Amino acid sequence: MMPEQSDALDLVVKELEARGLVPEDALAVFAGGSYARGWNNADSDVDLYVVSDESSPGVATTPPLVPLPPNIPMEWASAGGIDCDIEYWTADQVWTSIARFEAHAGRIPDSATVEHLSLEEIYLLERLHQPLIARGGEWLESTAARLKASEYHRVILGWCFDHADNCCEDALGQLASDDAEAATISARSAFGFTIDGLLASYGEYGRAPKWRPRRFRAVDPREIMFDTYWAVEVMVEYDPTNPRLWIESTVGKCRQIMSEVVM
Amino acid sequence: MSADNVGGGYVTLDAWRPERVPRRSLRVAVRNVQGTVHLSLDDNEALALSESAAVVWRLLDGNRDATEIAEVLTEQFSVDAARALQDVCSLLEDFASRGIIQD
Repeated sequence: MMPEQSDALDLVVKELEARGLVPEDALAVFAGGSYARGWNNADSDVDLYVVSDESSPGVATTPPLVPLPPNIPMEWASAGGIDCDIEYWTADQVWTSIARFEAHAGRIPDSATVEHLSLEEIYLLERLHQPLIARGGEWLESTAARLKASEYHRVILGWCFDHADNCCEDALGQLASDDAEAATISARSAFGFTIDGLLASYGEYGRAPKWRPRRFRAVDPREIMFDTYWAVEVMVEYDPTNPRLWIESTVGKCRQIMSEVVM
Repeated sequence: MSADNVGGGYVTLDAWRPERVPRRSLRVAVRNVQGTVHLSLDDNEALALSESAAVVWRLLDGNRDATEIAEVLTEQFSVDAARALQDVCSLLEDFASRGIIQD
């Protein structure tokens, strides 16, 4: 991370603290998303996470005990010339989300775990991996270590590949019934899930397709070259007069990748 | 080539002609569990491939015939060429009977 990114975030957080939007006793404050990765542009917001022992005073609608997400209060503020989306989590909420991916009493988390996540949890967990830390580095490091030790990536990988399989089946079924348009979309989806699973196996899972090329380049997976990935992603070889070729080739690539990623 | 854990029972020698070009069925789902390739068959049965069978499976790209696949195995596993071709043809016949490949 570039130092100026970190310095800018510190100014933002200081301003938010002065305005009472970040409590002084916060356990941790960090930015996630594109800002944390240095992938932001001039129009990007900062996705800011504030973690406290207790629900933050002055923030509306937070029940006093430990609600499960998605009961996450949010604020929108501009600070230091940067628009911020701020989420307020309690430490227990963060750990509850992580605990979903830990084995308890013989229960092994599986793909269904992902289906039960709220959108807020999905983004929190993926952003905990590479946060841009403003406050509470020690707390964040230990929390990220707990997440890393959980079944999170294995479960995400399985979930992605299960969806990829479903989309492959759809594509082939639709192709067999001469619905090439639906088959094309299904094959694209299958490839997206397959690549997301592949990247998750390298610890680079993210829900937003727009960052897939960035994530890909960040880990440079050995199972498929970037140029090959990109040619499928942007459908370079798609021939509208003969979509079958591209669809079958894409499904074949999905199967090939899934045979190589060790689960 | 050992293909014991793809179901065994390879008694039909050279049933798959060496010049035939096999390719994987796109309908077969696949996973790599701890380094072992598992194929999902139509009857919800999973088939675990031996190391050499997995190498063959990965070579089924619709471009190589059985002879060319056997050549790769001969090189990779240092086995006799004639034996490799015989085993590859037997394995492909078994794959075909399970719907794993087509030509």
